[in-house]
Amino acid sequence: MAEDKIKVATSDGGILEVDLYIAKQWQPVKLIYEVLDSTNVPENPIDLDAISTETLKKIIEWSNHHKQDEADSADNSENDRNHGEISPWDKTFFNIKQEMIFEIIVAADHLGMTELLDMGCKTVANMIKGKTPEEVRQTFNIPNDLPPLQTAQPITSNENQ
Amino acid sequence: MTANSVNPFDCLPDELIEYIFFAIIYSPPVEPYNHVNNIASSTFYFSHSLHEPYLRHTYKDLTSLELVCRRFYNLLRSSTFWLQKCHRDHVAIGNEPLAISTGIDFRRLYFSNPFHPDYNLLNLNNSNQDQVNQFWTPNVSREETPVGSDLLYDEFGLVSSCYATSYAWGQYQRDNVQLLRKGEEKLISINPVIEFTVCVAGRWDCSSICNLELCFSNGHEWKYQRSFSNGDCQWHRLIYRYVNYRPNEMPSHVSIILKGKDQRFWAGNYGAKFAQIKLRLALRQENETENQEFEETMLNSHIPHVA
Repeated sequence: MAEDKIKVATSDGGILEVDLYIAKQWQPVKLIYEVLDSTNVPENPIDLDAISTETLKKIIEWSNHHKQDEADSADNSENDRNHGEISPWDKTFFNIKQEMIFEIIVAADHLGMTELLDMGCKTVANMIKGKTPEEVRQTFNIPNDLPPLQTAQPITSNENQ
Repeated sequence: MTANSVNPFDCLPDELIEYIFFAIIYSPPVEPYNHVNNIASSTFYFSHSLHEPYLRHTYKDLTSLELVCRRFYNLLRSSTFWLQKCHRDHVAIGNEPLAISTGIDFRRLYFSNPFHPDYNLLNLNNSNQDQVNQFWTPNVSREETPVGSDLLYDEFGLVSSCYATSYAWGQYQRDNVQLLRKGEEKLISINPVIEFTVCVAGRWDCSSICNLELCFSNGHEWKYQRSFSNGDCQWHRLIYRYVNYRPNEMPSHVSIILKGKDQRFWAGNYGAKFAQIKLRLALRQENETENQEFEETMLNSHIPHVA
Protein backbone atom coordinates (compact mmCIF):
# COMPACT_ATOMS: atom_id res chain seq x y z
CA MET A 1 0.00 0.00 0.00
CA ALA A 2 1.49 3.30 -1.12
CA GLU A 3 0.71 5.09 2.09
CA ASP A 4 2.69 2.73 4.31
CA LYS A 5 5.52 4.39 6.11
CA ILE A 6 8.29 3.12 8.29
CA LYS A 7 10.64 4.76 10.73
CA VAL A 8 14.38 4.95 10.31
CA ALA A 9 17.01 6.14 12.78
CA THR A 10 19.97 8.23 11.67
CA SER A 11 23.51 8.51 12.99
CA ASP A 12 22.85 11.76 14.85
CA GLY A 13 19.86 10.52 16.76
CA GLY A 14 17.12 11.65 14.38
CA ILE A 15 14.08 9.56 13.54
CA LEU A 16 12.44 10.00 10.13
CA GLU A 17 9.31 8.58 8.62
CA VAL A 18 9.75 7.34 5.09
CA ASP A 19 7.41 5.91 2.46
CA LEU A 20 7.84 2.18 2.54
CA TYR A 21 8.10 2.14 -1.25
CA ILE A 22 11.22 4.32 -1.08
CA ALA A 23 12.78 2.67 1.95
CA LYS A 24 12.50 -0.76 0.43
CA GLN A 25 14.93 0.28 -2.31
CA TRP A 26 17.63 0.64 0.29
CA GLN A 27 19.94 -2.29 0.89
CA PRO A 28 19.80 -2.36 4.69
CA VAL A 29 16.00 -2.17 4.63
CA LYS A 30 15.76 -4.81 1.90
CA LEU A 31 17.83 -7.18 4.00
CA ILE A 32 15.59 -6.74 7.00
CA TYR A 33 12.45 -7.33 4.98
CA GLU A 34 13.91 -10.49 3.51
CA VAL A 35 14.12 -11.89 6.99
CA LEU A 36 10.72 -10.70 8.18
CA ASP A 37 7.26 -11.39 6.88
CA SER A 38 6.63 -8.44 4.58
CA THR A 39 3.37 -7.49 6.18
CA ASN A 40 5.07 -6.87 9.53
CA VAL A 41 6.33 -3.34 9.89
CA PRO A 42 9.22 -3.54 12.34
CA GLU A 43 8.45 -2.19 15.79
CA ASN A 44 11.65 -0.23 16.25
CA PRO A 45 13.01 2.27 13.75
CA ILE A 46 15.51 0.70 11.34
CA ASP A 47 19.01 1.90 12.13
CA LEU A 48 20.87 3.58 9.28
CA ASP A 49 23.87 4.28 11.42
CA ALA A 50 26.20 5.66 8.76
CA ILE A 51 23.88 8.42 7.58
CA SER A 52 23.07 11.77 9.17
CA THR A 53 19.57 13.25 9.31
CA GLU A 54 20.39 16.06 6.94
CA THR A 55 21.87 13.67 4.38
CA LEU A 56 18.97 11.26 4.62
CA LYS A 57 16.49 14.07 4.06
CA LYS A 58 18.28 14.99 0.85
CA ILE A 59 18.22 11.37 -0.23
CA ILE A 60 14.51 11.11 0.42
CA GLU A 61 14.00 14.31 -1.57
CA TRP A 62 15.87 12.74 -4.50
CA SER A 63 13.97 9.49 -4.23
CA ASN A 64 10.64 11.25 -4.24
CA HIS A 65 11.51 13.12 -7.40
CA HIS A 66 12.91 10.06 -9.17
CA LYS A 67 10.16 7.62 -8.10
CA GLN A 68 9.61 6.37 -11.61
CA ASP A 69 13.30 6.13 -12.64
CA GLU A 70 14.32 3.47 -10.16
CA ALA A 71 11.66 1.19 -11.59
CA ASP A 72 12.71 1.36 -15.24
CA SER A 73 16.47 1.91 -14.96
CA ALA A 74 17.02 -1.83 -14.62
CA ASP A 75 16.60 -2.58 -18.33
CA ASN A 76 17.47 0.80 -19.71
CA SER A 77 20.75 0.21 -21.44
CA GLU A 78 20.52 3.54 -23.25
CA ASN A 79 22.01 5.15 -20.15
CA ASP A 80 25.16 3.28 -20.82
CA ARG A 81 25.39 4.55 -24.37
CA ASN A 82 25.55 8.27 -23.95
CA HIS A 83 26.88 8.54 -20.41
CA GLY A 84 23.60 10.07 -19.17
CA GLU A 85 24.07 13.77 -18.73
CA ILE A 86 23.08 15.27 -15.40
CA SER A 87 19.49 16.51 -15.68
CA PRO A 88 18.74 20.14 -14.79
CA TRP A 89 16.83 19.02 -11.71
CA ASP A 90 19.77 16.93 -10.54
CA LYS A 91 22.13 19.85 -11.19
CA THR A 92 20.06 22.03 -8.86
CA PHE A 93 19.79 19.18 -6.38
CA PHE A 94 23.57 18.98 -6.15
CA ASN A 95 24.03 22.71 -5.87
CA ILE A 96 24.82 22.36 -2.18
CA LYS A 97 27.74 22.41 0.25
CA GLN A 98 30.65 20.39 -1.08
CA GLU A 99 30.73 18.35 2.09
CA MET A 100 27.12 17.28 1.59
CA ILE A 101 27.77 16.06 -1.96
CA PHE A 102 30.38 13.67 -0.60
CA GLU A 103 28.09 12.56 2.22
CA ILE A 104 25.42 11.77 -0.33
CA ILE A 105 27.92 9.74 -2.34
CA VAL A 106 28.87 7.66 0.69
CA ALA A 107 25.24 7.24 1.74
CA ALA A 108 24.06 6.32 -1.77
CA ASP A 109 26.74 3.66 -1.92
CA HIS A 110 25.73 2.33 1.50
CA LEU A 111 22.07 2.21 0.51
CA GLY A 112 22.74 0.63 -2.87
CA MET A 113 21.30 3.55 -4.83
CA THR A 114 23.34 3.26 -8.00
CA GLU A 115 21.63 6.03 -9.95
CA LEU A 116 22.14 8.60 -7.19
CA LEU A 117 25.72 7.39 -6.71
CA ASP A 118 26.36 7.91 -10.41
CA MET A 119 24.98 11.42 -10.36
CA GLY A 120 26.99 12.32 -7.28
CA CYS A 121 30.20 11.02 -8.81
CA LYS A 122 29.52 12.84 -12.07
CA THR A 123 28.93 16.04 -10.14
CA VAL A 124 32.32 15.78 -8.45
CA ALA A 125 33.95 14.69 -11.73
CA ASN A 126 32.62 17.86 -13.37
CA MET A 127 34.18 19.88 -10.58
CA ILE A 128 37.53 18.28 -11.35
CA LYS A 129 37.53 18.25 -15.15
CA GLY A 130 39.78 20.75 -16.83
CA LYS A 131 41.49 21.96 -13.65
CA THR A 132 45.21 21.95 -13.00
CA PRO A 133 46.44 19.91 -10.04
CA GLU A 134 46.84 23.06 -7.96
CA GLU A 135 43.31 24.19 -8.81
CA VAL A 136 41.95 20.77 -7.80
CA ARG A 137 43.79 21.01 -4.49
CA GLN A 138 42.35 24.43 -3.84
CA THR A 139 38.81 23.42 -4.76
CA PHE A 140 38.79 20.51 -2.33
CA ASN A 141 41.33 21.59 0.26
CA ILE A 142 43.60 18.67 -0.50
CA PRO A 143 47.05 19.00 1.06
CA ASN A 144 49.96 18.34 -1.23
CA ASP A 145 51.80 15.37 0.20
CA LEU A 146 53.82 14.46 -2.84
CA PRO A 147 57.62 14.77 -2.74
CA PRO A 148 58.92 17.78 -4.69
CA LEU A 149 60.20 15.74 -7.66
CA GLN A 150 56.71 14.68 -8.66
CA THR A 151 55.21 18.11 -8.40
CA ALA A 152 57.94 19.65 -10.52
CA GLN A 153 57.65 17.36 -13.53
CA PRO A 154 54.64 17.86 -15.74
CA ILE A 155 53.41 14.63 -17.23
CA THR A 156 53.16 14.99 -20.99
CA SER A 157 51.45 12.73 -23.46
CA ASN A 158 54.77 11.74 -25.00
CA GLU A 159 56.00 9.79 -22.04
CA ASN A 160 57.28 6.35 -22.74
CA GLN A 161 55.60 4.26 -20.04
CA MET B 1 42.50 27.56 5.89
CA THR B 2 39.41 27.81 8.08
CA ALA B 3 38.65 25.40 10.89
CA ASN B 4 36.03 23.72 8.75
CA SER B 5 38.18 23.02 5.74
CA VAL B 6 38.67 19.32 5.52
CA ASN B 7 39.66 17.22 2.53
CA PRO B 8 36.31 15.60 1.59
CA PHE B 9 38.09 12.74 -0.17
CA ASP B 10 39.32 11.57 3.22
CA CYS B 11 35.90 10.17 4.04
CA LEU B 12 35.68 8.19 0.80
CA PRO B 13 37.02 4.66 0.46
CA ASP B 14 39.30 4.02 -2.54
CA GLU B 15 36.48 2.39 -4.44
CA LEU B 16 34.36 5.53 -4.42
CA ILE B 17 37.24 7.76 -5.44
CA GLU B 18 37.73 5.39 -8.35
CA TYR B 19 34.04 5.78 -9.26
CA ILE B 20 34.58 9.52 -9.43
CA PHE B 21 37.63 8.99 -11.64
CA PHE B 22 35.60 6.68 -13.87
CA ALA B 23 33.11 9.49 -14.27
CA ILE B 24 35.84 11.67 -15.80
CA ILE B 25 35.34 10.86 -19.43
CA TYR B 26 35.09 12.56 -22.79
CA SER B 27 33.23 10.55 -25.34
CA PRO B 28 31.86 11.07 -28.84
CA PRO B 29 28.07 10.79 -29.13
CA VAL B 30 26.88 7.38 -30.25
CA GLU B 31 25.51 7.81 -33.74
CA PRO B 32 24.58 5.48 -36.56
CA TYR B 33 27.64 4.49 -38.66
CA ASN B 34 30.24 5.68 -36.17
CA HIS B 35 30.40 2.58 -34.03
CA VAL B 36 30.27 -1.21 -34.27
CA ASN B 37 28.13 -3.34 -31.99
CA ASN B 38 29.28 -6.59 -30.50
CA ILE B 39 25.98 -8.29 -29.87
CA ALA B 40 27.53 -11.22 -28.04
CA SER B 41 29.18 -9.14 -25.35
CA SER B 42 26.69 -6.24 -25.46
CA THR B 43 29.47 -3.76 -25.97
CA PHE B 44 30.49 -1.60 -28.86
CA TYR B 45 33.47 0.33 -30.11
CA PHE B 46 33.85 3.60 -31.99
CA SER B 47 35.86 4.12 -35.14
CA HIS B 48 39.47 4.44 -34.09
CA SER B 49 40.19 7.80 -35.68
CA LEU B 50 37.03 9.23 -34.14
CA HIS B 51 37.66 7.88 -30.66
CA GLU B 52 41.37 8.43 -30.17
CA PRO B 53 41.29 12.21 -29.52
CA TYR B 54 38.57 11.76 -26.89
CA LEU B 55 40.47 8.98 -25.15
CA ARG B 56 43.59 11.14 -25.10
CA HIS B 57 41.68 14.04 -23.62
CA THR B 58 40.41 11.80 -20.83
CA TYR B 59 43.90 10.39 -20.35
CA LYS B 60 45.35 13.87 -20.05
CA ASP B 61 42.83 14.86 -17.36
CA LEU B 62 43.40 11.71 -15.35
CA THR B 63 47.18 11.69 -15.52
CA SER B 64 47.20 15.31 -14.48
CA LEU B 65 45.29 14.26 -11.34
CA GLU B 66 48.24 12.08 -10.33
CA LEU B 67 49.98 15.27 -9.32
CA VAL B 68 47.31 16.32 -6.83
CA CYS B 69 48.22 14.11 -3.89
CA ARG B 70 49.77 10.77 -2.99
CA ARG B 71 46.45 8.98 -2.71
CA PHE B 72 45.35 10.02 -6.19
CA TYR B 73 48.74 9.08 -7.55
CA ASN B 74 48.53 5.56 -6.14
CA LEU B 75 44.99 4.99 -7.35
CA LEU B 76 45.74 6.29 -10.84
CA ARG B 77 48.87 4.20 -11.20
CA SER B 78 47.04 0.97 -10.47
CA SER B 79 46.76 -1.44 -13.37
CA THR B 80 43.34 -2.64 -12.31
CA PHE B 81 42.01 0.90 -12.40
CA TRP B 82 43.04 1.32 -16.02
CA LEU B 83 41.82 -2.15 -16.94
CA GLN B 84 38.35 -1.15 -15.74
CA LYS B 85 38.60 2.24 -17.38
CA CYS B 86 39.46 0.62 -20.71
CA HIS B 87 36.51 -1.66 -20.34
CA ARG B 88 34.05 1.07 -19.36
CA ASP B 89 35.18 3.48 -22.04
CA HIS B 90 34.96 0.93 -24.86
CA VAL B 91 38.64 0.55 -25.57
CA ALA B 92 38.35 -2.50 -27.82
CA ILE B 93 41.11 -4.98 -27.15
CA GLY B 94 39.87 -8.34 -28.39
CA ASN B 95 40.98 -10.95 -25.95
CA GLU B 96 40.73 -9.29 -22.55
CA PRO B 97 41.68 -12.30 -20.39
CA LEU B 98 44.83 -12.78 -22.45
CA ALA B 99 45.68 -9.10 -22.16
CA ILE B 100 45.39 -9.35 -18.42
CA SER B 101 47.47 -12.51 -18.13
CA THR B 102 50.28 -11.16 -20.29
CA GLY B 103 50.55 -8.09 -18.13
CA ILE B 104 49.74 -5.50 -20.77
CA ASP B 105 50.01 -1.93 -19.52
CA PHE B 106 46.36 -0.81 -19.64
CA ARG B 107 47.24 2.75 -18.83
CA ARG B 108 49.33 2.93 -21.96
CA LEU B 109 46.75 0.97 -23.92
CA TYR B 110 44.09 3.54 -23.06
CA PHE B 111 46.25 6.22 -24.62
CA SER B 112 47.36 4.18 -27.62
CA ASN B 113 45.64 0.95 -28.61
CA PRO B 114 47.33 -0.93 -31.45
CA PHE B 115 44.82 -3.79 -31.16
CA HIS B 116 41.80 -1.70 -32.07
CA PRO B 117 39.89 -3.70 -34.72
CA ASP B 118 39.66 -0.58 -36.85
CA TYR B 119 43.35 0.38 -36.63
CA ASN B 120 44.96 -0.24 -40.00
CA LEU B 121 48.73 -0.24 -40.29
CA LEU B 122 48.35 0.41 -44.02
CA ASN B 123 46.50 3.69 -43.52
CA LEU B 124 48.62 5.35 -40.91
CA ASN B 125 50.12 8.11 -42.97
CA ASN B 126 47.73 8.00 -45.83
CA SER B 127 44.54 9.77 -45.05
CA ASN B 128 43.58 11.38 -48.31
CA GLN B 129 42.50 9.58 -51.41
CA ASP B 130 45.46 10.51 -53.59
CA GLN B 131 47.84 9.10 -51.05
CA VAL B 132 45.97 5.80 -51.02
CA ASN B 133 45.76 5.60 -54.83
CA GLN B 134 49.52 5.86 -55.23
CA PHE B 135 49.98 2.21 -54.24
CA TRP B 136 47.99 0.96 -57.22
CA THR B 137 49.29 0.73 -60.79
CA PRO B 138 47.63 3.26 -63.14
CA ASN B 139 45.56 0.65 -64.99
CA VAL B 140 43.47 0.07 -61.88
CA SER B 141 40.43 2.23 -61.39
CA ARG B 142 38.80 3.22 -58.15
CA GLU B 143 35.06 2.74 -57.90
CA GLU B 144 33.11 4.67 -55.30
CA THR B 145 30.66 1.80 -55.23
CA PRO B 146 31.39 -1.50 -56.97
CA VAL B 147 30.23 -1.71 -60.58
CA GLY B 148 29.09 -5.09 -61.81
CA SER B 149 29.53 -6.71 -58.41
CA ASP B 150 27.46 -6.83 -55.24
CA LEU B 151 27.63 -3.92 -52.81
CA LEU B 152 30.07 -4.35 -49.96
CA TYR B 153 29.49 -2.93 -46.50
CA ASP B 154 32.08 -2.28 -43.86
CA GLU B 155 31.66 -3.04 -40.16
CA PHE B 156 30.17 0.42 -39.59
CA GLY B 157 27.41 -0.15 -42.09
CA LEU B 158 28.85 2.07 -44.79
CA VAL B 159 29.24 1.05 -48.42
CA SER B 160 32.89 0.42 -49.33
CA SER B 161 34.67 1.78 -52.36
CA CYS B 162 36.89 -0.64 -54.27
CA TYR B 163 39.64 -0.95 -56.88
CA ALA B 164 38.89 -2.69 -60.16
CA THR B 165 41.62 -4.24 -62.27
CA SER B 166 41.77 -4.53 -66.05
CA TYR B 167 43.01 -6.94 -68.75
CA ALA B 168 46.71 -6.71 -67.78
CA TRP B 169 47.82 -7.33 -64.22
CA GLY B 170 46.82 -4.45 -61.97
CA GLN B 171 48.84 -4.34 -58.81
CA TYR B 172 48.86 -2.95 -55.27
CA GLN B 173 52.28 -2.94 -53.71
CA ARG B 174 53.48 -2.01 -50.23
CA ASP B 175 57.13 -2.57 -49.39
CA ASN B 176 58.38 -3.06 -45.84
CA VAL B 177 55.35 -1.93 -43.91
CA GLN B 178 56.45 -1.44 -40.33
CA LEU B 179 54.50 -3.57 -37.86
CA LEU B 180 55.42 -1.83 -34.64
CA ARG B 181 55.57 1.88 -34.08
CA LYS B 182 58.19 3.54 -31.96
CA GLY B 183 57.48 2.86 -28.29
CA GLU B 184 55.60 -0.36 -28.94
CA GLU B 185 58.58 -2.67 -28.60
CA LYS B 186 57.15 -4.15 -25.42
CA LEU B 187 54.47 -5.78 -27.52
CA ILE B 188 57.04 -8.19 -28.95
CA SER B 189 56.94 -10.25 -25.78
CA ILE B 190 53.18 -10.68 -26.16
CA ASN B 191 53.68 -12.34 -29.56
CA PRO B 192 50.67 -10.72 -31.20
CA VAL B 193 48.95 -12.12 -34.24
CA ILE B 194 49.67 -10.29 -37.48
CA GLU B 195 46.39 -10.22 -39.34
CA PHE B 196 45.91 -9.31 -42.99
CA THR B 197 42.47 -9.07 -44.56
CA VAL B 198 41.18 -8.06 -47.96
CA CYS B 199 37.83 -8.37 -49.71
CA VAL B 200 37.82 -9.58 -53.32
CA ALA B 201 35.16 -10.00 -55.96
CA GLY B 202 34.67 -10.64 -59.64
CA ARG B 203 32.09 -9.11 -61.98
CA TRP B 204 28.95 -10.89 -63.00
CA ASP B 205 29.84 -10.57 -66.69
CA CYS B 206 33.50 -11.52 -66.77
CA SER B 207 35.69 -14.16 -65.20
CA SER B 208 38.81 -12.96 -63.42
CA ILE B 209 41.62 -13.96 -61.08
CA CYS B 210 43.59 -12.48 -58.22
CA ASN B 211 46.90 -13.27 -56.52
CA LEU B 212 47.90 -12.25 -53.03
CA GLU B 213 51.38 -12.39 -51.61
CA LEU B 214 52.75 -11.47 -48.20
CA CYS B 215 56.51 -11.54 -47.48
CA PHE B 216 57.49 -11.08 -43.87
CA SER B 217 60.90 -9.77 -42.88
CA ASN B 218 61.74 -13.07 -41.20
CA GLY B 219 61.41 -14.95 -44.47
CA HIS B 220 57.91 -16.30 -43.92
CA GLU B 221 55.63 -16.03 -46.95
CA TRP B 222 51.94 -16.47 -47.66
CA LYS B 223 50.53 -16.82 -51.15
CA TYR B 224 46.96 -17.11 -52.23
CA GLN B 225 45.22 -17.31 -55.54
CA ARG B 226 41.55 -17.16 -56.36
CA SER B 227 39.59 -17.13 -59.55
CA PHE B 228 36.10 -15.84 -60.16
CA SER B 229 33.93 -17.62 -62.65
CA ASN B 230 31.32 -15.94 -64.79
CA GLY B 231 28.36 -14.91 -62.73
CA ASP B 232 30.14 -14.95 -59.37
CA CYS B 233 29.81 -11.34 -58.29
CA GLN B 234 29.77 -11.80 -54.53
CA TRP B 235 32.44 -10.39 -52.27
CA HIS B 236 34.71 -12.72 -50.36
CA ARG B 237 36.69 -11.69 -47.33
CA LEU B 238 40.11 -13.32 -47.13
CA ILE B 239 41.89 -13.38 -43.80
CA TYR B 240 45.38 -14.52 -42.97
CA ARG B 241 46.58 -14.70 -39.37
CA TYR B 242 50.31 -15.18 -38.91
CA VAL B 243 50.82 -16.67 -35.52
CA ASN B 244 53.50 -19.30 -35.74
CA TYR B 245 56.72 -17.32 -35.59
CA ARG B 246 59.47 -17.95 -33.06
CA PRO B 247 58.44 -16.61 -29.65
CA ASN B 248 59.66 -13.08 -29.03
CA GLU B 249 60.89 -12.85 -32.59
CA MET B 250 58.00 -11.14 -34.25
CA PRO B 251 58.92 -9.91 -37.74
CA SER B 252 59.41 -6.18 -37.96
CA HIS B 253 58.12 -5.60 -41.49
CA VAL B 254 55.97 -7.13 -44.15
CA SER B 255 55.72 -6.51 -47.89
CA ILE B 256 52.42 -6.94 -49.67
CA ILE B 257 51.56 -7.50 -53.31
CA LEU B 258 47.99 -7.86 -54.57
CA LYS B 259 47.37 -8.50 -58.26
CA GLY B 260 44.26 -8.94 -60.31
CA LYS B 261 43.03 -9.04 -63.88
CA ASP B 262 40.20 -10.29 -66.04
CA GLN B 263 40.40 -13.45 -68.11
CA ARG B 264 38.79 -12.17 -71.32
CA PHE B 265 41.22 -9.47 -72.25
CA TRP B 266 38.49 -6.84 -72.37
CA ALA B 267 39.17 -3.10 -72.52
CA GLY B 268 37.92 -1.37 -69.42
CA ASN B 269 38.07 -2.58 -65.84
CA TYR B 270 36.39 -5.97 -65.80
CA GLY B 271 38.98 -7.71 -63.69
CA ALA B 272 39.01 -8.74 -60.05
CA LYS B 273 38.14 -6.07 -57.49
CA PHE B 274 39.79 -5.39 -54.15
CA ALA B 275 38.41 -3.57 -51.11
CA GLN B 276 38.98 -3.10 -47.37
CA ILE B 277 42.68 -3.90 -47.41
CA LYS B 278 43.72 -4.08 -43.82
CA LEU B 279 46.82 -5.01 -41.83
CA ARG B 280 46.74 -5.04 -38.05
CA LEU B 281 48.01 -6.63 -34.87
CA ALA B 282 45.66 -8.64 -32.69
CA LEU B 283 45.76 -10.61 -29.50
CA ARG B 284 45.70 -14.37 -29.95
CA GLN B 285 42.46 -16.19 -29.51
CA GLU B 286 42.33 -19.01 -27.02
CA ASN B 287 44.53 -21.93 -28.12
CA GLU B 288 45.55 -20.18 -31.30
CA THR B 289 48.97 -21.55 -32.22
CA GLU B 290 48.84 -22.24 -35.96
CA ASN B 291 48.74 -19.83 -38.87
CA GLN B 292 45.27 -19.65 -40.29
CA GLU B 293 43.68 -18.70 -43.54
CA PHE B 294 39.95 -18.03 -43.82
CA GLU B 295 37.58 -17.16 -46.58
CA GLU B 296 34.14 -15.77 -45.84
CA THR B 297 31.60 -15.15 -48.54
CA MET B 298 29.67 -11.95 -47.91
CA LEU B 299 26.07 -12.32 -48.90
CA ASN B 300 24.56 -9.18 -50.37
CA SER B 301 21.85 -9.15 -47.77
CA HIS B 302 24.45 -9.02 -45.02
CA ILE B 303 24.08 -5.44 -43.95
CA PRO B 304 25.41 -4.94 -40.44
CA HIS B 305 22.79 -3.98 -37.91
CA VAL B 306 23.46 -0.36 -37.06
CA ALA B 307 21.84 1.00 -33.94
